[in-house]
Amino acid sequence: MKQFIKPAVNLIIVAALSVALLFGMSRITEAVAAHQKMEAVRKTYNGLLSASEWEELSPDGAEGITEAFRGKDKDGATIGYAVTVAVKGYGGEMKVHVALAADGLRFKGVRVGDNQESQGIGSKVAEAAYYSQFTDLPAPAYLDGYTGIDVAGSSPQEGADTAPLKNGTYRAEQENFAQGYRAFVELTITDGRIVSVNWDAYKQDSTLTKKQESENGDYIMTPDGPKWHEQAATMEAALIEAQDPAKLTYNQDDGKTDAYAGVSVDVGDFVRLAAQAMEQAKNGDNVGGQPTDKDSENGVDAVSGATVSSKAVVKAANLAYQFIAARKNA
Amino acid sequence: MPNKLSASPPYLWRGRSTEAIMGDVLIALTPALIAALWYFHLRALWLLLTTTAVCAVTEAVCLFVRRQRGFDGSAVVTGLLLGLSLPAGTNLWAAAIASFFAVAVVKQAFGGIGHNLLNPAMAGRALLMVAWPQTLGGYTLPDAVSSATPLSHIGGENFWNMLVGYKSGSLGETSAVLILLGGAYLYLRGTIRLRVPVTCLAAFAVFIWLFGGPTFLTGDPTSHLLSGSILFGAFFIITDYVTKPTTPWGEILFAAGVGILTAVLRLWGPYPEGVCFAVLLMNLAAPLIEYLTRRRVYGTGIPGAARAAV
Repeated sequence: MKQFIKPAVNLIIVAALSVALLFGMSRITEAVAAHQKMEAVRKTYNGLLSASEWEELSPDGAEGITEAFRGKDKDGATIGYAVTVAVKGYGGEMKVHVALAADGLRFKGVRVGDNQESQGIGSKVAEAAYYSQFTDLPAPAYLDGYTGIDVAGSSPQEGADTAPLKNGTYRAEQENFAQGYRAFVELTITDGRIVSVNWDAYKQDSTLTKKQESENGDYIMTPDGPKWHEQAATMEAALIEAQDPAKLTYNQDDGKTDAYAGVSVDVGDFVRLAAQAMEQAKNGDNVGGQPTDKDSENGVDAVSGATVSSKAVVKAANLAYQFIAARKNA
Repeated sequence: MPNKLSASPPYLWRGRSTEAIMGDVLIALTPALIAALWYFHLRALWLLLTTTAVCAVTEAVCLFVRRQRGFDGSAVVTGLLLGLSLPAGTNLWAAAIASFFAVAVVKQAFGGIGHNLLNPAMAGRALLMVAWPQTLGGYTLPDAVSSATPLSHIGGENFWNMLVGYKSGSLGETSAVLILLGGAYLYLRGTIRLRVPVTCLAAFAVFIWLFGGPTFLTGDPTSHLLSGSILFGAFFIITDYVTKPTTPWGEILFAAGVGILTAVLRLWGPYPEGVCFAVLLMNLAAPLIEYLTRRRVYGTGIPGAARAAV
């Protein structure tokens, strides 16, 4: 019996010492790791947000969000938010660091971190010429010349249809001019609902659209009936009311309808294009967005030749904006 | 005791049985075991249970078949050493086969304790590395974060993490501090002589410093010492009484050989870790080293003494 006592005592001492060491080391490791993390945050957002303290926010599985921090000044007042977002760029995952103002409605700035974008092309989104456009930009951001950047993720659509519509502006247009016009339909989705519709057409060899022409009085169908732009407005309102092009009533053979007062034009193209735009809205498939002439105040110019990379950064910035907006309301 | 002693009498009885020595080794392994469980949780437990149980059962069955007594706990040590030398993601069936191979083929087939040429635990690990490398399951970080072993990206690991054990690797090699605690226990108990691990680590560090960097003399021995199984090997594997030479100079040559070979295999070998093969190669060289370093009988020349000894 005696010969077992000494080894047993030794075993207990060694085991106790081991556990104590492990415990102590893990405490120090945690402290070191926490310090390193804060240093990394401070370094990343240096020049964008100068917080004296960072409070970590849990991403809670929000799309793309890998890390989020609330920056505080000495008195504990929020001075802004720092959100790291992982998005798919052209070459793979791209890390985007987004700094938001304290109200969450304005970007303080954006930095592009680790990425695998094409050297010299997409990689330019990581250069100041591109990312500095986000400095003090109102949120959400849009890429100029492109409609339908995915501003918000998806919010479930109330009502019947299967797939929810994703927020954004979507556009479908005819490929070729027919009888001098090329029609297009734009849908704007907010909170999963169609909130605005624009049915118009480009006129061949003209800077005016069909609507503008009709408003000027240059496009005349019948001398005294409702004008084209008035009929278009009726159809746009009808679609907002119906929330689904498939529910619009018309004769599929000739495109004529009796269901809407004063509408005598062929609405077949309108219904088809609206249905295409709806499909895009369901898929959130706005990448194929078409150039527009609009320059909005929250617009960002894409890096030439690197639309996908540029969009990814805009998307990341907007995901961060959305995340903080949801956080602030909660 | 059925085991034959390897040298002619007279013998010096140190007052400690094999069981007592193995008990000390078990106590010395506790820090590494606790660290393995701490960092790898249940996966470490299952792996260690598998290797230990299979080694012990195999030993018992072999002894029974060979009509020998003397279950002395050395198989338990072999099982633990093997388990600790494997990455946490190792397939349990593969671990069981390696354990069986280590005890039945490497140890018992050669005559049991005292007669094996190779270190059974390292031979078992080498079997998996060579025959079924995919069963090692890749090296995993504690908390199941998949990652390459630190050796694959040396310099990137944080020094503190490497020291305390938050790094990927085999079960027993993660925490340098706890390996050193176990080593210190073995030394204080007189179970190992310090010259073996110290020589091995010194030779390893010097070689890495000389050749491990982009240019001559710019290697980083610290991170190399703290990563992989060199520390674990130096204190627990190459101090095995059976598979190293017994003479003082023999021990030093053997340990230095393991250190340098490990460095060579690490720097230029196909595997991320070199300890296992370095130990096995030096195991094979041990009898020769023993022969060359045997103390000569006073008044006789070395060749004559050697002939007399044989």
